[in-house]
Amino acid sequence: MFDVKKIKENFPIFETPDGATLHYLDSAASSQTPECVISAMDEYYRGFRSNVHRGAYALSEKASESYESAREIVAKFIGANKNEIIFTAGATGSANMLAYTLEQSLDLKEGDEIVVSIMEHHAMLLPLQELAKRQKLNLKYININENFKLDYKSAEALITEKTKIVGITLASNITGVVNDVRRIADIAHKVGALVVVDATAAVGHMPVSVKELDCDALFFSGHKMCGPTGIGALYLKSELGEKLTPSFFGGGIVTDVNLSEAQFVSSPEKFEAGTPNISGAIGMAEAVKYLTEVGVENIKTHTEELTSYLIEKLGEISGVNIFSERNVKENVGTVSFTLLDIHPHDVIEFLSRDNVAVRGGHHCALPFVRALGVPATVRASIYLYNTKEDIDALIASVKKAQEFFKK
Amino acid sequence: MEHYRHPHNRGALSDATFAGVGKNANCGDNLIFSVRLGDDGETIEEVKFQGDGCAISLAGASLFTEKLKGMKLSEAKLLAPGVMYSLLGVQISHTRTRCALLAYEALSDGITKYGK
Repeated sequence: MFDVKKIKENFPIFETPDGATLHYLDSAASSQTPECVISAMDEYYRGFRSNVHRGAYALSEKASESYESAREIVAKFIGANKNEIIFTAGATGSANMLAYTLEQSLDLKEGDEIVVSIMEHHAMLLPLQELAKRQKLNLKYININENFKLDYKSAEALITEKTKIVGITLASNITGVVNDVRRIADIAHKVGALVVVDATAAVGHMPVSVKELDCDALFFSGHKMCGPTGIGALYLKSELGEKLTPSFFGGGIVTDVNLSEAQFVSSPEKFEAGTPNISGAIGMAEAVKYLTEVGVENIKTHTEELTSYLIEKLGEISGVNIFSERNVKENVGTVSFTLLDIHPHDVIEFLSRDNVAVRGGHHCALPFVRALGVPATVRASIYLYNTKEDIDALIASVKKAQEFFKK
Repeated sequence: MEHYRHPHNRGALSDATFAGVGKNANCGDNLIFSVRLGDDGETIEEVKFQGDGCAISLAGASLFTEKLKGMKLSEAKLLAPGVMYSLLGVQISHTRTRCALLAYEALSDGITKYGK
């Protein structure tokens, strides 16, 4: 059975004086780190600190093995083969590298199209927006309907034979809604477009399978799924990985270099120039092991319960406007809301005084917040270590804020 | 709080000599400061502000308009951003810095646009 108390004990932050009363509802910004992940990274630094790329001594052999084993563990977590996983500095690093790689490898012509959803986080949106500007491509947006869900019907008209890239988030970092990526992928593949998925909000919060999504590329960050910061993964379907050329250059990616050109190794190594975040990769794999042991489906069920409870309690407060997927089965555990006549900044300041950690603002998805018709929202996000008490504390603080600001 | 609940000098100024905008990209707050100078071209006769913002930015704006009224433009130009903190008189955490300084930004923008 899912024992939240036991789970909280795995996370050292809740043992600290402040942490004991911490109601951490900001995992969508960054998640907490369990002891096992910290220890695994420590073990690398203390026990076998060495570079990877198979140096000729035992220490390097061990570091290389751990790094490659980490790759395999992360790959398995999303249903991919280990050669389809590239370690990066994070989702944003992945997205930027991918955009440049696609720019040079695809035969993009002026007037070609890129289609993204209006929900995209700037990590997905900006690299593609800039690419469109540089190559004079047409950037189009799939909009939302009145239930804040994607307008799938309109996607059929938006994605045409001119569309080369479709960028879609698996789950929104504002409303928590899980998108039917497969449906979009089917539309995209009919016209030969590549499907790139931002799975940052989803991996570690719900089961994710690249086979089921049928995406060509996918990226996510370690720090949103109990891993360390500074590490992430980029999945490239093997055919795509072989076809694309690197856009990020440095050591470790060539079979030969002369004065004028280089021959690159194969995927995934050709996309991992330089010394990687070795401890980060080891930590990320440890996080995968931890989450797998707890059970991602169990985590999903747990967050569904609390999301449901939070939406219910917020709904009881007058003057609250909720921006969240109400069918909690299709929500990764994120609830955004606004309070009538009280600015999000002022709300979160109140909450922070009661040690309730949430986030306010546009959450790096300005077009989406505008599409929702508000300048900013307060966002609470739920993960495996959250309890009913966390939700109760948030509700109590919100009511206090309302009382204080009452005209 | 008082200035947030009942802000002074909120509204449009039809015969403004110049106006400036302050924007907080983090949260979408924006303030428009409109200033009318007297016949001497120096004395700030009337100041009004418009826009949306959190308690700190609106209270700051309200307090700032009160301070500016009657000042000479040359004096106002010498005001440092720190004036906002003294006016607000409460501790501002570093994440709210932009909120506190929004009104000052709006005035500075207006003065720059006015160019005199």
